Amino acid sequence: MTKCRICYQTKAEWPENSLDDHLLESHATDETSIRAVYSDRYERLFENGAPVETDDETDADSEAESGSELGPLDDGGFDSSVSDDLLDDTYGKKWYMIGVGGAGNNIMDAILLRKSTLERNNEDRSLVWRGGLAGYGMLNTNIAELEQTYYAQELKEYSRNDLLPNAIIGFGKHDYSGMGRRWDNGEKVVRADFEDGNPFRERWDMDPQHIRDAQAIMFVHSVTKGTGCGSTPALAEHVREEVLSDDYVIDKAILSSVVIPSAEDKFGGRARTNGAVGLARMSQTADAIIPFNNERLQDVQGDVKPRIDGIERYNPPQYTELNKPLVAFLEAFTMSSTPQIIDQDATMSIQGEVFDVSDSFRPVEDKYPLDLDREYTPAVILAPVLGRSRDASLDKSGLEILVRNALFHNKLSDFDPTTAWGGTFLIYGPEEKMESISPYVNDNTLREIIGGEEMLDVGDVSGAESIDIHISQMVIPYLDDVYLWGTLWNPRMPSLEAMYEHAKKLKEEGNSRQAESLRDIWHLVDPLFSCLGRENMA
Amino acid sequence: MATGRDTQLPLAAWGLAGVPILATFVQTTLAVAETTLGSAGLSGVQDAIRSVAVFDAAAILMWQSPGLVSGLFVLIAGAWAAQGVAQFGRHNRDVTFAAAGLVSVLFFALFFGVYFPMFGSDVPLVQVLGFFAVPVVASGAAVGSALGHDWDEKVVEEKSAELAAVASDLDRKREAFEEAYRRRIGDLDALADIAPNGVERARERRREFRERCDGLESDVAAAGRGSADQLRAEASSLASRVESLDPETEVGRIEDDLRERVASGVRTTYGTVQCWSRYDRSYELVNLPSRFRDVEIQAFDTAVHVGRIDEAFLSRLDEGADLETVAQAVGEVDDHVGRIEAYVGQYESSFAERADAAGSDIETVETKCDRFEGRVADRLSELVVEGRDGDLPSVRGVRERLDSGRDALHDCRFDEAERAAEEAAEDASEAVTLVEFLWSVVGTIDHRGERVSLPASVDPTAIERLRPAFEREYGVEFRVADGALELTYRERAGETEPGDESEGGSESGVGGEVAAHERGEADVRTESDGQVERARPEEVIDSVLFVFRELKTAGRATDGDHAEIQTGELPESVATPAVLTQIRRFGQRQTDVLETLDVQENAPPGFIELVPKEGTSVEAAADALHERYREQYG
Ligand SMILES: Nc1nc2c(ncn2[C@@H]2O[C@H](COP(=O)(O)OP(=O)(O)OP(=O)(O)O)[C@@H](O)[C@H]2O)c(=O)[nH]1
Ligand SMILES: [Mg+2]
Repeated sequence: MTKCRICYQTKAEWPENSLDDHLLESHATDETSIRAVYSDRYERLFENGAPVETDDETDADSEAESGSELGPLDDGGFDSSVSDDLLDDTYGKKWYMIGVGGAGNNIMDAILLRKSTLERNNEDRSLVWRGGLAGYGMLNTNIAELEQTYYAQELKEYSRNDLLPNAIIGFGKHDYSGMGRRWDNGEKVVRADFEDGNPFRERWDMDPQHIRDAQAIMFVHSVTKGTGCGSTPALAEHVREEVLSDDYVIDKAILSSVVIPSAEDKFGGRARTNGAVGLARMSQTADAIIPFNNERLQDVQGDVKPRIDGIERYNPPQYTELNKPLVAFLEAFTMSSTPQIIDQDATMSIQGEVFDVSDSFRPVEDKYPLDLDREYTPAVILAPVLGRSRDASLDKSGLEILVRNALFHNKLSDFDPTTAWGGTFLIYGPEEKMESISPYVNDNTLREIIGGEEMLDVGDVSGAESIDIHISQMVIPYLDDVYLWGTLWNPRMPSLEAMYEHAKKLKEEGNSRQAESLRDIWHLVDPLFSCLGRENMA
Repeated sequence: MATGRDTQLPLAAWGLAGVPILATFVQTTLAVAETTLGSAGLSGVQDAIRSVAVFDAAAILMWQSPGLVSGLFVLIAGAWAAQGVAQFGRHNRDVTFAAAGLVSVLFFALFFGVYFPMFGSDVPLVQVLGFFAVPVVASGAAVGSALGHDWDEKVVEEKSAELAAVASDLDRKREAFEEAYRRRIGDLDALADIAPNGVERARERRREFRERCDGLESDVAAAGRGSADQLRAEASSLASRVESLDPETEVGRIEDDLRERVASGVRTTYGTVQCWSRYDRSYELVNLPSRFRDVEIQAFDTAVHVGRIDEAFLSRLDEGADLETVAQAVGEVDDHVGRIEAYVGQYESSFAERADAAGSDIETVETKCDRFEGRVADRLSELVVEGRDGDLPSVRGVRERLDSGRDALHDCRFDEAERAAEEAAEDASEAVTLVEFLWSVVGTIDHRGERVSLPASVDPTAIERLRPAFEREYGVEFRVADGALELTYRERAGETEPGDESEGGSESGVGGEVAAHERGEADVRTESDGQVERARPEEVIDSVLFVFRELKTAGRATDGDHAEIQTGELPESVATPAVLTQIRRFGQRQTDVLETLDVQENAPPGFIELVPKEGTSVEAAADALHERYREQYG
């Protein structure tokens, strides 16, 4: 059997019929190797360093590339069950995502780049985003930031003039250079937009119907500067009242992914006050808030950083590495309810149950103590973790390691797991590994590990409510390793507490205008922070 | 002879030309023979002729040179007769034209040479012109007859036969070529791998020969369809082109060339029969079992050792073995090599599968080791990466094992290779588990956890080796019990002192002690290193802002030309070196509002002094600093 002395594959392994064809098809770019290894053939196959055209032009590669966007879908049994209609229809997809402000735009960009990376490499995982994203939008008060996005430059090819109507908050109301640290201005410009009508319907590049079709709306933003902090809560309100209400849709979930700056970011007093206000205001309208701590994102290991081509080009350098694990977390969250991605052929016991977005926070709502004084029931805080195990065979202690590493090292925000009200977890991986894990999931071993004293410490409850742990498992055929994704409910979070304490002090002692306005809305700030930690559970 | 309608007209024309020619010929002959018409009893006729002035004048002129005139008439008549014979008897176009031409030339020579003076005589011009029309008509008729004659039919007939001969000649040569090629060269596929250029060249030359034949064939066909003129022009050249085809010699040349290239191909390809692995190394085929080591070459009717295949081929080639046989032998050798490759390939891919897994595992181990800190990181890299303890699985150990496995594989010691790969994969996976486990221990320590269950594959000796490093780094004691690692924390002195900046020194200073401590484990006192909390940047920021406010207040007390405060007047948590450094650095950049912003060396304790730029008040300068600092960092 002929074997290629360049790639050491035998004839049976090449797609081509003869060695000549193989060299031309598979190694044409590696002309030097061919010259070195097959000097005799080289003369014949190459002319002036370029392959001589052969008469049979059946270029298998280019065909595959130019074929359907989802090349590999065509082979392999289970994929055939995925209908393209299902994937392209927005209805029932998990998210409608809206990136607001600088951070929101960057992260939305990172997600879109991730999606296109998977699609470009024909990875089956592109189904996650294709099946999970009902639509997306970018909003900002800063035109320069918008202009620099992948969204504007490549996806939509929007010029400044296109961006103004399509993505600016406060069109005609300011100079489009951001809100600085003024959350009140951030809110005002949103209100101004809605006074003139409904920009979702009239102006922004987002289809209200698609928003209504999604299972949930996810805002991605920061809360320490004007736009993220001030505009997003107001936007969420308007979405709730003026977009979702049209359709008599009740109770559509609104989530928010919030980035909290790390201390290195000169996280000063004003920013901390903003943070407390922004989170609290958001928690009024949103059902759940996932805080990501930049400091923690920084520490996360390469393990859970997905490949995102082009992120360096569009995300500011200090955020590229932070946004990767964040995207990975959201990808897993998205996967959890994208039935198309699950291996339908896996054994029933581990095939897994997808769960709805609301499953990740509804169970928590019952655990709030009845408090008639409380202005509103705040959103559930979902503290994110994402761990990965490279271990070849996961037994009980291997699972314990995975849980420890996820909960202790790969917290994407700072929190104390033992103070959480419970949590939702998803363990997923390739079939062969899930096969050995599944028994531990089914016989509650994994639940016991997660509920252990050092982790969620389920034994430590004083009130009427129990600490619940929801675990789902899934076979995701295209992975090599096992991952543990999780959100822990309402744990105590030092960084949020610090923001709260700072704001509280300012409210009590300050005599600035800022302190003044803080006192005005304090009744809205307090409820959120009075719910973190187990002692605040019913 | 074909005498169709087409010949009638030329025949009539020729006849027409004959009338004056014969008439004058007879008349002249008679005249020369001194026989006049009169003496022949035809004086009436003669008189009648002579009564026409022109004839009379002609007769007179004739008599001036009777020899010439009669000679010319004889020649003309002869030429005319010859034309008739050539044209209608022999169908010889060239002779016909030559004769007709001669008739014309002679006729004109005669009339213009002999009878020209008539123009000066008193013969009526009309008659002279009429007389001179005779040669014109006669030669016109003669030439016209030749021209009007249908020559082609004959030519076509002749040349077609010639072309048919050429074509069949061509077919013969073509067949001869194909036959010789088949016989002497044969099917080249088997040789294509060994002498790709030679084969290509041979094929090309065969193609060239065929193309030449095809070209000739189509030329012959084209000539057959062409006009008689073309036929005439090309028939003989085609014949000679076909003649020049020499199939035997051509095939001979092709064969010689190919043979040479096959020989050189054998020398390079079979000089050593080799199987290459994906590791870019060749196998030691001589170590294979004999059924693979010896190659049965039926074409040569012999079995040859893999190391000596080239000799066998070269000697056969020298002896003039035909290429067909050589090709067959090549095929057999290739098949054999294919069997060898399939055989070793099986081992290779199972080896590679394990080796790849091990390779990616040790990569994981290396990156995971990087994330540990301090002594634990050092110790871990000694043990798990560098493999200083030979008993524990390590990256280096795995690499070495894989290397020796690869050597064994290429030596065709497959069992050994497989074993090595298996062991390497096992060790690598154990190392992954160990590192993942230890990482979870670090997390547990951070969370003050007390028990971590020990995976079965983690060797307790590894834990034992790492214990001292953990104790020193984290102040935690290990105990392996009940398949779990139990952790107990030591109360440590400096631990609860935040703000202590002694961090830097400990890192470099203690490295050397580690080994000593490991051996003497017993009672290890740990300092408060590695645990000190650094002041958080936002605290520094707030403190700096506080100092600026204080400076402003202080300025009021000193009439506004400068402001000074002692660090002792500030809260302890504000007057830290970090804060003062920040103030000094920040002040240096604000030259537009400041003359100087001095922080005394080695403060605290010491003073901080602000001197505003001329024209700026202390208050305004302090406000500017406050504002700017807050804008930039707050
Ligand atoms: N993780 C992460 N954090 C970011 C990113 N970009 C900004 N941030 C954080 O968000 C904070 C700034 O918020 P921005 O979103 O830039 O501000 P904004 O909402 O646009 O508000 P204005 O610019 O004042 O209108 C910074 O302190 C960063 O910590 C990002 O790409 N990734
Ligand atoms: Mg901005």
